[in-house]
Amino acid sequence: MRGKRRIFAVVMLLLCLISSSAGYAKKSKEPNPDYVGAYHSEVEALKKHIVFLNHGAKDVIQLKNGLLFAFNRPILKESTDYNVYKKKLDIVLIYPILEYDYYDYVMAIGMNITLKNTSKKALTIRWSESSLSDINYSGLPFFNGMYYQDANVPVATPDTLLVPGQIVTMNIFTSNAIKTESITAPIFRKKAVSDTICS
Amino acid sequence: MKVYEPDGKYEYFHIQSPYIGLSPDYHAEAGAEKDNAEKSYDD
Repeated sequence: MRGKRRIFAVVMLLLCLISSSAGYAKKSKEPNPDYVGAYHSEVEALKKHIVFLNHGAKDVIQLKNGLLFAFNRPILKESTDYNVYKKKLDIVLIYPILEYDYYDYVMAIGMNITLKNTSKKALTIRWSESSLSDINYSGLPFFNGMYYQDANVPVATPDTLLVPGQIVTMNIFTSNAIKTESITAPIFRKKAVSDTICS
Repeated sequence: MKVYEPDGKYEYFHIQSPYIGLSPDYHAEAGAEKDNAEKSYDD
């Protein structure tokens, strides 16, 4: 009888140990959403302070044809997807969440600009014959309202027509801004949409 | 950037954006917070 009790006690002890270690493993793999949420709000607060810095470059550029080009603000996207780091995307801030070996990546996904035609002629910016580059990428610009599959397609990339005195404020993205499963806003990607679906 | 005029003439322009980073205001605010924290610690 004593032997059975001892076996029962040992089995119960083992069960307790297994359940507690399983709980620990789960905790380390799946961060507490409230905890990560707190970090997200910290990163959101930081994002408000990420701006264009005027070190050597002008915020407003006057072209000799009378077109005024102003850089208003970078357009940022936050992600915890490690793929954005692996793919060497244009990351401007990496925010570590140390307790869970977890990172928030803040990327520049485009910029908000203002164009003004100060000349006496109508000016047309043909974006389909222009390019937008960063360290890792060069391609056609991508605009709000375009289909993702039209990114980097010249015939689908619209012009901007400015009559004399007209001012236009717009968002401009690089054409590798596409939608992924884990990130629902445009981000810098080297792959085409079809490649992403296949991989 | 390629810009056309009404007569079909065009010109290319190279435009470089300013660098992106944390604003000087943020550094000033962070510095002030640190100073206040140190001051309250001394008090």
